[in-house]
Amino acid sequence: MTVGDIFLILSFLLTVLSILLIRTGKNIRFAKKLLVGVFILLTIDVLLLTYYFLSSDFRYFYVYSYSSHELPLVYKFSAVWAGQEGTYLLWAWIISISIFVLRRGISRKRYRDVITITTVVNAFFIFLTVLMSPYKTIYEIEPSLPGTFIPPDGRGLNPLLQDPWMAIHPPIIFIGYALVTITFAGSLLYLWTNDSRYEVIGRSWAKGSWLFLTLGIAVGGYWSYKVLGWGGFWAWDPVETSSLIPWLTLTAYLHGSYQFRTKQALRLYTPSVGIITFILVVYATFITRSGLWQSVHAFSETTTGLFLAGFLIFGLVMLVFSVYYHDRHYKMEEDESQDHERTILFITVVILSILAFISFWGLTFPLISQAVRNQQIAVDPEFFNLWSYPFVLILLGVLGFCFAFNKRNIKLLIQISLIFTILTLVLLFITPGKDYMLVEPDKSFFVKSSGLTRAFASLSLLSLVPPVIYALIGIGFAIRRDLKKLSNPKNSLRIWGKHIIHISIIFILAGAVVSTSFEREQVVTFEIEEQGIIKMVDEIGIKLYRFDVHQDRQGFWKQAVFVGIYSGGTKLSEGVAVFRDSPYGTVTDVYIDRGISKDIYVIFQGVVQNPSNPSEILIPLKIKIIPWVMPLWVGIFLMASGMICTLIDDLRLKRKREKMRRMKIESRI
Amino acid sequence: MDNKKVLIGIAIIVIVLVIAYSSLSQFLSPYKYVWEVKEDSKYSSEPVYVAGLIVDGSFRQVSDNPKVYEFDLTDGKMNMHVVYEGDLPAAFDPSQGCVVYGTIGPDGTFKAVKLLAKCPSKYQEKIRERAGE
Repeated sequence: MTVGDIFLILSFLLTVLSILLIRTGKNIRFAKKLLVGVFILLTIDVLLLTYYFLSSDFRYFYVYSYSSHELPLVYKFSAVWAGQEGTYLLWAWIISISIFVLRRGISRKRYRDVITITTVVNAFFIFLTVLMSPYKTIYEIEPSLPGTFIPPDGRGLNPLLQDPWMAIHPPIIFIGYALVTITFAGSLLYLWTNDSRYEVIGRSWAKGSWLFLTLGIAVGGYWSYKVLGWGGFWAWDPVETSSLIPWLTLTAYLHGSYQFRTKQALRLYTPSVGIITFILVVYATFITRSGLWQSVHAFSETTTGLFLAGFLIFGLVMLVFSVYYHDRHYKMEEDESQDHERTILFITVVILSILAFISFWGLTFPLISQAVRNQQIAVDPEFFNLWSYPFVLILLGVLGFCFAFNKRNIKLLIQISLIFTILTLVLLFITPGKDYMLVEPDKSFFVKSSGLTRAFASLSLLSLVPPVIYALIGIGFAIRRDLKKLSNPKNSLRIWGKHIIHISIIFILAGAVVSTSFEREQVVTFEIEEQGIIKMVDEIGIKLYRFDVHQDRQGFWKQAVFVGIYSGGTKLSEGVAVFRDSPYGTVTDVYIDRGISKDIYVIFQGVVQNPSNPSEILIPLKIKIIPWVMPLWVGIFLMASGMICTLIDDLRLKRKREKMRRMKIESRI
Repeated sequence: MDNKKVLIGIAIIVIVLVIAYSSLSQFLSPYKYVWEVKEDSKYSSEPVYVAGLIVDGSFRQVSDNPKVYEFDLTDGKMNMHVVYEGDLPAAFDPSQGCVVYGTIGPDGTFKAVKLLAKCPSKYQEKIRERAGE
């Protein structure tokens, strides 16, 4: 038991106490003070852990495991959340901050109800942190150690995690996860009370959560793109997939909540998806932490897995109970009138849910198989790609239709849609080359699959083109219409946000599909004397400037190749590709020349002897030419900016509403 | 109206069932132990994941261009010779466990098309090993 532990337990007790006080309604003001106290205690705990890292206090096992004297200062900060103990702490801390922020702009009763649920969730995460305390000393873990022993150095942070993107990835994801808690609370309370103002609270926080989830997933993808052997920016690894599923359901939630407020529709479905999103977030944590999944990401098995599983079941029971309760006690006042916009949005929500289901099933099936048949299996990435593909096409179609739609042009629109649909269907069967097939035929996947699956996998990617164009035309229409209508620039931020987000989807899809399917690779080999010579890979010239070898203070070797990238005689860029030893095995730092239409990816994994002439040293470089990666990153940037626009507008509206309310109160006086 | 709703509902359920069912037969690769792969001839055509430890000192590079590596993988019960062509994942350490994906040849050599290293966060060794140094 150390100081940090005492603060943790104290904050847990305060949390429980404040829940009791809030619920009995006795001393709410005091309960709020207690919650501030929890926030302060957790803040101290985070600072304390940071301090242990900065002072390299290796008596703490967590610090010992993830830090070392040599570690650069920045990564001593980020090492705070390098392991699971730290991430639980971070999560609890972020929830306590959001409880702190929440109190603005909502009525006392609703505030009370929302923080009750949020605080219960927070109590759970503080409890997990207590169990998996980052403040355990090495003496607690290995009692046989003499109390005087202090490790001379820590284990150090894995070189892969010593990356600016990996430093910010976990907190971003966890902010996204933590904010979902409030959407969860709002959705539950709506179901219990039928008061849609709870839904409003859930919705406003869902946007922020969506923004952080988007950024978090993107940062993770960006990082794994430049790390060799991690399958590029997306590999359907269980941990990656588990973060995508809540993103998809949250997207469904946001579309559903639009219907909820404008059309009085999906009044049961929307809050249910809100609750499901939260359950999926806990599920994602469970996957990362339980050790039940065969993943390159998987952390070792821990006791907290059991508690997370329990919490998951608790969440599901809450969901079923709440839906049942709502159904029994409140008559649904759904507006049954039909209009096209409503139908389209309904389809959108359904398809997003199906996409979430595909990912969920592919992720969960191995676990079921293991439990039921005691058989360990992996779901092939083709499962996700192939099944998602048709629904993505439909989604693009629905997007174009929805944006282009108005009451007058319906006939013309349906005709155009029909043409595009036929075009898409025809193009499904036109494959100019094997690159164009959904799954390349040389993949081992083809060996074992049946004829029907093979036919599915052989469909052409060209079919993506008409829906993309259709969606762009649709958005173009909407922009033109809005430009005419938008006399008031104040309202335009929200509308632009919406357009930007939907355009960004197209960028992301196009970038992801093209870069994955049309990647080429080739090896060029230089002799060590061939410095200054340019060798061609397709239309790209690779120039070897210099080759360096040196050994660092700890005795680890490092080989570096300085290269220049040329196109048509002009230099595009130059940089260094490195192959080095580390305490964690060999590390390959690739060099990437980033271009607008393609990336040149240079991999160097050490010099070799010429097999025919052993005295000669060769430098083999593997060159990958990856088209259209830039649109993907641009798309993600646009997606985030669009949501930021919308959030700014939300805040502005909220402030305006508060001002109006205050004015009303004043005028009454 | 209600008929329409029922139809949509049925359509969704059918889609979901088809997706769920397809995974049972078409999109699965089993995870096996070395001895299971060696004893079952069907893994000569059906790709399989095999997790294990690399036998100390068996890891070596056979060819540079293309990069080919070979090593013996063990599950503690049986060993299997593995040939892997491709890049090594970043921070790959032969003394740690790894997962290979591929098929086994008639001569008992496993031809791996994928090689996965364990996640960085998994490197938690026992402190005693360190203290005993």
